[in-house]
Amino acid sequence: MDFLVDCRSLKKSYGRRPVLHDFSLQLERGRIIGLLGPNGSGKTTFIKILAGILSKNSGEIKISGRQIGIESKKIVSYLPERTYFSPSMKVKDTIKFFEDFYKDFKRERAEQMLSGLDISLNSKIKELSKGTREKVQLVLVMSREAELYLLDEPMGGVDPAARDYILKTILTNYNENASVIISTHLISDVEKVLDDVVFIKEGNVVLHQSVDEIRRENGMSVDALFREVFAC
Amino acid sequence: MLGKLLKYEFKAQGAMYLGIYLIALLFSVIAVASDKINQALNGNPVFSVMRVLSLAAAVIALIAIFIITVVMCIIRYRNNLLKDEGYLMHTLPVSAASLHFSKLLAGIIWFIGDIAVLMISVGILTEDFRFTWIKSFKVILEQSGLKIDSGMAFVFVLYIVLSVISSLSMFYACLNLGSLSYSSKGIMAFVWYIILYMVGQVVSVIGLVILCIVQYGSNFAVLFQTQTDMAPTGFVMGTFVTSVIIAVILTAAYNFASLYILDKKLNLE
Repeated sequence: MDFLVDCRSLKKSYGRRPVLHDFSLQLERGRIIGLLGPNGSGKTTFIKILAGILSKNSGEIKISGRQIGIESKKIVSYLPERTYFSPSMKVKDTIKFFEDFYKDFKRERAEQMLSGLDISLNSKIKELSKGTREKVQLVLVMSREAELYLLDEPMGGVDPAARDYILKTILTNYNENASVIISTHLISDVEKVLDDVVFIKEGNVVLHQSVDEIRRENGMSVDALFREVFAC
Repeated sequence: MLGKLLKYEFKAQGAMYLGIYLIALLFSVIAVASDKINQALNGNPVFSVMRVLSLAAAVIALIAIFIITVVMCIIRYRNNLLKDEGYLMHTLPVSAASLHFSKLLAGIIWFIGDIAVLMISVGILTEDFRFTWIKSFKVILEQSGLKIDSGMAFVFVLYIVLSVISSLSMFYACLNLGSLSYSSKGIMAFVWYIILYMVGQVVSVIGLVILCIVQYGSNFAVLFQTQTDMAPTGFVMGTFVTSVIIAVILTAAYNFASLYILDKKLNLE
């Protein structure tokens, strides 16, 4: 099968502390996937390796058949869990920046979404609240026609009303040939939009199943299963 | 893509550099204007003090420009490639080489700007845009036994340019080597600076010793003789050429280390 993400025997450690052990995962196209696990389980590390900002120690990883590098970055849209724009930039500068570097960026889509959120294009990044900065980044990331969207804690710093808007944004903007990987702790909030979930524990995949199968086979929600699997 | 990256470098820092350049030039103009007014008024105490203060400010501003450029180059590289902004820069579909060399090229261009402002300021302060003081400097050097021809001038300028490139490359290599640490990246970058600085000094000394042996054999005493058949011109030229070769080798090593880390060992925790 032609997987969008094909990761085999991936290993990564921070110094002597191993984070991913023999991590293997294959993801299909057209799915919204929840990457779930407790703190320090390796979710962010895996996403960073996919995004190309962290090097692996060993193993194979391909996105749409491409090694991690310039070619994979053309088709991956990454939202980190931190603000990455220079504070001195204006919102309209960030749009221009994305337009300059990503051929698949849709300016009209970004401007429409920002307008819907009442975010002025002339606002400076440093003048925006943390939540609004996160919204700007999400809008830009979702305004690309990428094949893989990597969203690391996309709702970490926003209020519940904004979370719904973010989920709506994700649902309405990704195309059917693309997949979205969402790493989050807010399982109950995202559960309704997920097709598949991947549970990660101590650097290994312990479960990769569709949400429908989980509900059918276990008779419980993803949130309830997560609490059961990762009970302290 | 390198062109686009450079465009954003100038956009991000252009206003700041323009500001400090204008301040330095303004102090030079005020110093000359104060001097002219002081002379016209046959020694007005206000303009006399103003002349001294603005001249001091101009000199301080000209020195500060170079220090600010070094500091800003380091901060810009660290913040834009190795801190939070790196999460955006390293996910752009551009090569690590483009990211790295855009910073290096921008730094070189700012240094060229610094030198241009320095020359203009000196021109304003000396009211001599033909830079005749350079000729005077040449005469003084020639009186000490040096024969300065266009070849030596070229190698000297080349050495200055390469020194700037080599220094910037070393700072960037230190930041990249420091970024490999999982706990104290800043401290490790400083430790790497000390290590690379010492290695650079050792390599330079070895290079110069080799030059001495090649040129004079074991008769080092000739270096300390001022009036001799073996005038120091050849040695000075040899020193510059050796320094240029060493700078090229070290610059290549620093850039290789940076590119290897950015491409193969990137560690944005």
